[in-house]
Amino acid sequence: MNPTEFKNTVLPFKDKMFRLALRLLNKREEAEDLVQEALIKLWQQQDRLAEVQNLEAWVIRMTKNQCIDKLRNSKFGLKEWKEGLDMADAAPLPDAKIESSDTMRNLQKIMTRLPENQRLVMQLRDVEGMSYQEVAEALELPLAQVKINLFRARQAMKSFLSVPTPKA
Amino acid sequence: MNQTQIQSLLDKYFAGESSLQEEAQLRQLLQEENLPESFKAYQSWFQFLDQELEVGLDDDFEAKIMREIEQQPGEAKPKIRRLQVSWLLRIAAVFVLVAGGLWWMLRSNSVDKPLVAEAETKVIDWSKYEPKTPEEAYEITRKAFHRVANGLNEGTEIASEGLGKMEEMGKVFN
Repeated sequence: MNPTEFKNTVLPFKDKMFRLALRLLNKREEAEDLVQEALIKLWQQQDRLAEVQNLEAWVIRMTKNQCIDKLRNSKFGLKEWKEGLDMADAAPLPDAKIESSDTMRNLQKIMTRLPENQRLVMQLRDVEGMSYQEVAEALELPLAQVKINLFRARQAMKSFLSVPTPKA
Repeated sequence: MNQTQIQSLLDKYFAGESSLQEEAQLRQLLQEENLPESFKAYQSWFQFLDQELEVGLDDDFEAKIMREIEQQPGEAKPKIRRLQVSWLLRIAAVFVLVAGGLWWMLRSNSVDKPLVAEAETKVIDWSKYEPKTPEEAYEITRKAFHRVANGLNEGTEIASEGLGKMEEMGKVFN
């Protein structure tokens, strides 16, 4: 694979990789650095890439694995991750739905608080619009596990959205 | 607008039983302007998901990555490793061919006449002995070559074993 082929076949996934990394790391700069590292790593494995049947799943899997390695092995990553959780805990609760932008911020925070697998499945299905089968392949999860995680994530969002908006 | 249809699709969505097509339909229905208040929160949810899909890297990211990639050598290490094994095998193959050729040449010269017993050559003190006739000199030279051929025979066997091991190593590295 030459650089032009790499540009045409792998780089189109860069934004999807970035959104996934951002969902897991919660920091734009961290996510951007990680995507850069992942793309360089993919380039170094160019001989293997030619044999990969589902490139999208391969690229997503690599991004997810690198994010998880970063979060679990790096002290800095753990710190950032805990900060993300603290931010979500300190977020205003459903009262903030009065303002639409606050609703968006709160939805973001609620999603951040979901367990890792639920967050990943919801990101790939509800944001990226992937099929259950594609999500299962990308995350190396059984199909049933994908559906359970999605059900739980959506139920969590539903309980947030169902809280009646207080009148001003 | 069919509120029952929206509610039905929402129920399926939150139960995790909706298809991608149904989810697209639900998004479309929730974009209606005169949506009842009870659906507004769900409208925000799908707006949030649409916003999330617009998140992306900066425009200069691609150029930055391409510059990095063009400076990277790719899978250099495995290639070097394969080259080393290949050279070893080539050297071993040349050695075996030369040894085999010498052995075959010497053996074919001595096939017609019976081999001289090794005991005969052991009693001769070669440092003092001088051949008396050309025939005798020829016979002594032939015996010497015979000994060399025996030595090469043993060497070829050892080289063959070594080559076999190197081929196995080559499979592991490749």
